[in-house]
Amino acid sequence: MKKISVRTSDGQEFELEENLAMESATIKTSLDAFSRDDIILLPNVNSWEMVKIIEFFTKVQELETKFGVKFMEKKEGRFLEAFQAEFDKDLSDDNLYCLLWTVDYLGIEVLLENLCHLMAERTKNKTVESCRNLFGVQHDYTPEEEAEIREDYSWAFEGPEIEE
Amino acid sequence: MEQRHHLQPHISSAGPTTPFGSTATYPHAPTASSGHKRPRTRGSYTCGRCGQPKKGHSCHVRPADSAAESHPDTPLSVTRTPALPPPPPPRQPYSNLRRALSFDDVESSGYGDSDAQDPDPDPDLDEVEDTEVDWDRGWGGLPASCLWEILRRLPPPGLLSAAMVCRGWRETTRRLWKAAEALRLRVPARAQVRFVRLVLHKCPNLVSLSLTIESDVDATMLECIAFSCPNLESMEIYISEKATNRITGDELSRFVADRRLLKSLKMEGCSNIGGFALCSSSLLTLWLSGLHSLSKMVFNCPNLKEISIDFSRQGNDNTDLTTMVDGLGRNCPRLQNIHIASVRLSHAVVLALTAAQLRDLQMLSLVLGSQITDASVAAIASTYPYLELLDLSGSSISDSGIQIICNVFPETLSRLLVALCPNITTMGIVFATTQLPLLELMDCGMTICDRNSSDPTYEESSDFQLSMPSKAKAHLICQNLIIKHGRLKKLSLWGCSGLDALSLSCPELNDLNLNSCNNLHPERLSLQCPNLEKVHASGCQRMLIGAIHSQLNNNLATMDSLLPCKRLASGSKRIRVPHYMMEQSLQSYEDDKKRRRVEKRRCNVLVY
Repeated sequence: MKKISVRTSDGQEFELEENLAMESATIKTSLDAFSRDDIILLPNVNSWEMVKIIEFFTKVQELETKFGVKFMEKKEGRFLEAFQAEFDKDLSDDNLYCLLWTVDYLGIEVLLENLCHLMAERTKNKTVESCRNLFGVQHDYTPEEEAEIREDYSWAFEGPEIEE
Repeated sequence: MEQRHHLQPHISSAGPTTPFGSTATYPHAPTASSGHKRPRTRGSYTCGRCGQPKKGHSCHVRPADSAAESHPDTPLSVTRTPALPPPPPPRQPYSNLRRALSFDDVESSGYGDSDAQDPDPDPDLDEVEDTEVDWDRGWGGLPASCLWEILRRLPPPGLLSAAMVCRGWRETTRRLWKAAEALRLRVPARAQVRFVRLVLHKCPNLVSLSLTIESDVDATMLECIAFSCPNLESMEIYISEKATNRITGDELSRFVADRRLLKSLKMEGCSNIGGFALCSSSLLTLWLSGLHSLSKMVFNCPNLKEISIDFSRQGNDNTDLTTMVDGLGRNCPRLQNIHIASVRLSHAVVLALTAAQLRDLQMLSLVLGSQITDASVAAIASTYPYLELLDLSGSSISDSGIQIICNVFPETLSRLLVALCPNITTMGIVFATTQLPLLELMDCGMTICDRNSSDPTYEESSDFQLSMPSKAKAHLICQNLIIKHGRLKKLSLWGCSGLDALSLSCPELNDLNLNSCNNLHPERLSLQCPNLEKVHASGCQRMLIGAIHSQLNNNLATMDSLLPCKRLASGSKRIRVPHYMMEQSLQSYEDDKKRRRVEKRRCNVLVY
């Protein structure tokens, strides 16, 4: 199996098997356009992110042999649970956010879906303010608008504020 | 946060844009704005060159500078040719649009698979111009598609809160709500109608609605639903135990009559429905449960296919079931599935049913009617010989009734339920399993049990001791059941306390219920069922549970029997039960046959 070399933003090089590398739409496009012998430069990808992605591919392969199903092709619910357990534990919110961007950039559909799921789980427990911090969005409501929205959804906010 | 700011402009080998055709994805990076395609062009909130908000600014950043500011390590400076490939087709932000939103505080949003097709382009896309939202940016900081994927997995309080974060998020949530076609909502106790009205207002395209209500509900809820959901096809109202459903029969009838599209209606706790006149040509499915006494019942629903009428087991039920069934027969000739649960079921009711001559009847369930006898079975069998499901639980039918069933239904019957039928013995059960080759589900709960203990809560007894049978009852409880069936998938013997020995040889059996089979001898249990996934063994003795485990282990293909055993004088084999017998959680895999290498099957033994 042909190996594809990629170089991340901090100069580290990684080798991916061809079929796995092709899961990334971005890499696939550049492979289609250029020779497979060149190193693909990924200036937007950190090495730690690459490590995580490779970890993901390895895990998927493990699960595929175990369950005999092609996860890349179909999305299995069970896969989601197994995946979550592995990935959730050492990924901080900010890291998850960055990883999400990177995976979106690389165009790895299956991983993206799983990461979105993870992120949604985390968002569930966040307050509005901490969401803004995490996702880096501006609070762009005027005080009147904010009061109006709050008024409408007042019962959605009753109950204890959770986490952060 | 540090990590976000490191992101460089996407000057990668894929072209000057991100693969998804969006620009200005990073707040601090100028982008090469020439030569790319923006699929959903709309006024951009931020300047493409300098990233500052466009409003009232004049940009002094020249596009030519952007290349110079790029990361020195771009592929452009290495061995790539300058002719960059065209960017891949932009990804729709609405791909994998999920139309169903599930709003249960307890469980996470119930999106199963994601093969909803791409919807038609949102019709009010153009309206968004006014709010100056850069849709491509998504405003979450994230690409639009990611934000969509994340937000759509939030439960309702989460989704409502998400609207508070910023305008872009509110926009995304608004679109999510609009796209929703199915909604499952748990309605909080206070301000329930207002809450429902607010939520329903957001999803005008709603086709299917399921509400679980925690406090009293009345017709104002129906009015709210009627007002907000013009396209409603399916409605379900579940009510928590402490709450009362105050909707009356008239109110319900009015609601149904006005809904031209309503196909399915399910409602619980119908204690205040004293009677009704349901007129609907669209209604296909009707489930009403928790009913008390009904006076007038008119079913003017000519297309009705499925009906389920459940009376609560309270006293003074004056319902005239015979007239009701008579009316059903006359007005709803297309009925396929009938379920009636009432202690007032009788032979007369059955005769009314057979007189109706419902040509399409496939599933018939008449439960709790102790006055239903073998004669009723004969009547049913002669009029409806093509039933697929027959449920006469709680009736007085005996082994002769089973014999009639076996004579008439072998070619169609796949599900037979005769739980709580005290006159059925092991002979009847064996009859059914030998003579009904298509049987997939069989429920014989509480049949083979001590006739003297007619306490319906018998199976909840906490008596775990092995009770020595007194000689007087010995003949009633030392019963041996041997079942061999090629297709049986689910078998229930719950509460069969008279069962002494059990031998099952069913290659397709998935689910076996032995709850409260507390006289079943561990050494007289034989389970030759390699596909067994669940065994319910609540209320069983420890040794039985252990025996179940060892039987299951013996079924595993690759495992040698490591259990020490010795032969007893009687010729039977005593197996020493392994220490793990109290453990229950073993994973169960599916699609065993499709896997390349043989793996051990695991089965869950459920001891609640």
